[in-house]
Amino acid sequence: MIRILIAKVELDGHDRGIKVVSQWLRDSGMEVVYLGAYRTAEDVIKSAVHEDVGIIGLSFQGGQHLFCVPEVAEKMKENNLNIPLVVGGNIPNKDINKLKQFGVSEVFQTNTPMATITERIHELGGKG
Amino acid sequence: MTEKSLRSLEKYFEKPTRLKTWSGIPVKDVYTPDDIEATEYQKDLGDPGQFPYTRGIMPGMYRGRLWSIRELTGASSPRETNKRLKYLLLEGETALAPIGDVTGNLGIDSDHPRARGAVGMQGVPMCSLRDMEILMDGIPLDQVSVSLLLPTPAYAFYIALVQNQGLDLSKLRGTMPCKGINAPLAGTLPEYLDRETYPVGMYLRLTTDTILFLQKNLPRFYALNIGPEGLRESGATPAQEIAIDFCIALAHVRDAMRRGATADEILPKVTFTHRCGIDIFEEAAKFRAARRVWARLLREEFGTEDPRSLTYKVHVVTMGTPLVRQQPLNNIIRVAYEALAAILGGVQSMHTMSYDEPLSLPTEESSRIAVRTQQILCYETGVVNVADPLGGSYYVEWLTNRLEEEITQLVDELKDDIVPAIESGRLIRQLESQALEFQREVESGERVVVGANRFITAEQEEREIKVHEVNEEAVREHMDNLKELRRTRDSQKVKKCLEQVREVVEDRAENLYPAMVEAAKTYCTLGEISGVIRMAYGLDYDVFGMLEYPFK
Repeated sequence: MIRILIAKVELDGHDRGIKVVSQWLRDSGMEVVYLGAYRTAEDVIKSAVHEDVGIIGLSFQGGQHLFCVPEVAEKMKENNLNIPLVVGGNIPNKDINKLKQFGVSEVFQTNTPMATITERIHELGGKG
Repeated sequence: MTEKSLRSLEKYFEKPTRLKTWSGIPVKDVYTPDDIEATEYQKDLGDPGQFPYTRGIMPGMYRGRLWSIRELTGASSPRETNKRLKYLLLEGETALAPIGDVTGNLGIDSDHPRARGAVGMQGVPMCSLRDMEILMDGIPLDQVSVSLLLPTPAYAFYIALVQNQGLDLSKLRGTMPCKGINAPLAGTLPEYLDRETYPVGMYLRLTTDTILFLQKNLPRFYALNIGPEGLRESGATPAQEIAIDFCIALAHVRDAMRRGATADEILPKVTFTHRCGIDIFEEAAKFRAARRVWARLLREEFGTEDPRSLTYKVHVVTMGTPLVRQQPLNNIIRVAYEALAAILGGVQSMHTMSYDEPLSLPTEESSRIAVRTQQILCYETGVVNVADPLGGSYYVEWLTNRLEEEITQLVDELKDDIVPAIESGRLIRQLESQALEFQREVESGERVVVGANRFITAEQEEREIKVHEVNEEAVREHMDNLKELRRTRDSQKVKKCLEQVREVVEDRAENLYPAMVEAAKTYCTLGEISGVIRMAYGLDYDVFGMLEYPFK
């Protein structure tokens, strides 16, 4: 079974999207550890290790992804956490490649069908 | 013929399949006088400007005064936001609505360790009177209505600024919306911190102090604006949006009355910010129903007959949820329909969203199109000529009645129970399950979203649009200003002012504002003022427990 950790990091409370995605993944049979909003990179790493998840998903609404994602990715490396990291939310097209360069496996922009998200997380989370 | 063009030929015989309003009210093929048999013109509608104000709060409506074009504005730094405010005024915006970034909402300054990466991201950072001076530089505050979507200490910065400018406070117009008790409902607070960290009592107190202070000192300011967080975006139906916000407003009004104000002193100060979605008739009917319910409710609750007290006054924000990332220019059309619905509903003020919202904050160009959308509606379409043009439509009157019933029932259930309903998380869970249901309907295709689940364009054909980027240099300048401020201000005076604020809040009976305005004039920061207010409630100085009170 796939275990995924989902969180919003740093200061942003726009959580409609990520709550819907979390429930969707649960309903499709995954185990979702939902940390909620306003979390730090440390919170994410600590919980990911503690909960032994196979994949991490972060959500952004307000443009903080380019600031937050490198920090999370860096800390994952430091902690030898070799699992996929996926990012979703209000992400402009031009930032997708930048995020992938930071080590993000997949970027789900707004209005991505849930079926696509579920399928891709199944593929990625299955490897871990 | 390609396969794609053949598919569109099949649509020649297509019929609509989702025969419901946007929120899910089933509708018939046609409405007739039988559907509104029980509606009496004088009792249920009345002319515009007459009880129960179903048809509008003023006779003649927009003939008397057009609605305000008021765009939420805030990004990067006070200086950048000042530029954007002036730009929008030049483009024909008629009122201002600066919105703060998330750090201010949390009561922390831009140099807080947790603020990194969030400063200027989703609004303007506002740490002190200095930032307010920069934000409003060159803007004639005695001539423009200003809605301050900012945390409570920033209201003191504003009052300090206009006092320092020597303006006649009694002539100033605008709104200080207050983060009321609804803050935990709309994701504006960390859910894992909320209850003990943000006691509802503290919010009630700050809001009531604002109402009472403005009523005496800035009488043309609206002091209570319920709903800017936008419950609709969290999943609420139109009826829930109205009912929940009415109950929140009642709780604040009762608190102000408990502190000695009369109903007719407070009620004229109450305004709302509500969303307007894309179902034209449901949204227009919602605003009509809201006016009727509000007028009847207040007359019953407080026995008042004063029209200024009984009228539902609303600023509208067009809804973000229906906007779509794919083929983003289509959002201009969506926003135009939402704006049309709001004006058919007789609203007083409006923010139209920019088409690039699903990707970023608005650029200069997209925010100008948002303003133009309102101007085209206002000056070209003829919607302003006649008050309540939908009045008398069998369908719209039926839908107005239907929504009125739903709102009234919810208000009855919630009005004496609103604080526990918010605190227990019961309401937010309900909204979340509705947001999920909405998504199910999109996924199944029952709900068509053009460009997202039907009429999809291949990604490679998608037109790349220019998106807003935070001006990092401007953020650095703002951070330098804050550093300089801390270095150069009179720390002894700062300390004294902060102690004064804390004492007044501890006193519980005295109004916080005179002390808070004095603290603003001494360049105490938002984080410091928020911190001592928190300490007066027995909480940690810092919401994240990372900083110590610096003036022990």
